[in-house]
Amino acid sequence: MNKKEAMKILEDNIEPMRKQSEIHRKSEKSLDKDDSKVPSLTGPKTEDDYQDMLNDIKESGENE
Amino acid sequence: MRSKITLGETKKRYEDLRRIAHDFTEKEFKAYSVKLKEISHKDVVEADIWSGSWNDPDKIPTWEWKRMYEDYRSNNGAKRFDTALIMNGQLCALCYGIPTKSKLTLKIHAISRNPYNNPLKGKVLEITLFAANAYARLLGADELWICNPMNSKLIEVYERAGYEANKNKLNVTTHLSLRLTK
Repeated sequence: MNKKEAMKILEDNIEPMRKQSEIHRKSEKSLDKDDSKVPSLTGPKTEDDYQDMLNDIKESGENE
Repeated sequence: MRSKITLGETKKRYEDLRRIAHDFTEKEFKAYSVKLKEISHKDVVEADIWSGSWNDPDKIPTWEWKRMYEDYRSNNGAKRFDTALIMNGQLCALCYGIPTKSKLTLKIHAISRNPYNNPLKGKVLEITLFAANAYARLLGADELWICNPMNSKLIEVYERAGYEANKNKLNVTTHLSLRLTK
């Protein structure tokens, strides 16, 4: 895929992307009502979660 | 006969797609003058300091960004989603994600934001997940997952954003999934 083709994919999908983005903005605003300084929004909470993440990375790197 | 793609070519291909997703996002949010780039070693050193001053286990990162940086930059992480948000030279947020082998799902594994005088306060999810959405679409993915949301408040927030909470047998939310509508 060249840059022109990639840009066409994004431009063709800009409206649903903007709609989802607006919802994310409202969500963070709502989160910040409680505590605007929470540093972590998502991430592995336990070593098991971290190992699951490593498995995802390994699987992603396998040949298609 | 199809020639075999080298690891170097694979890395370059996905690096180019990340750059396109970053450029497209910068253009979309040009009013904020935000810059998007790949996460550097200096960034993860700073992000590990952010978590050092927090005591509440529901709010602090439980992983080390430095360790994640090494794992994500391994050869297996060539297709990663990798974004640091910078404004006026200040690091504002970091995010890592990885597509499944089929590339139909992009899994977001970690998002942290600078808790100190962050000029992008309140805009981190909006910008980061826009870029992730763009990268997912370039991969041909139709779902975006947020893995291991930090606490129930965050789960509520993502559910309001249209994500579906997926639970394990112990009724713990393992990830939130969002269909990427056309």
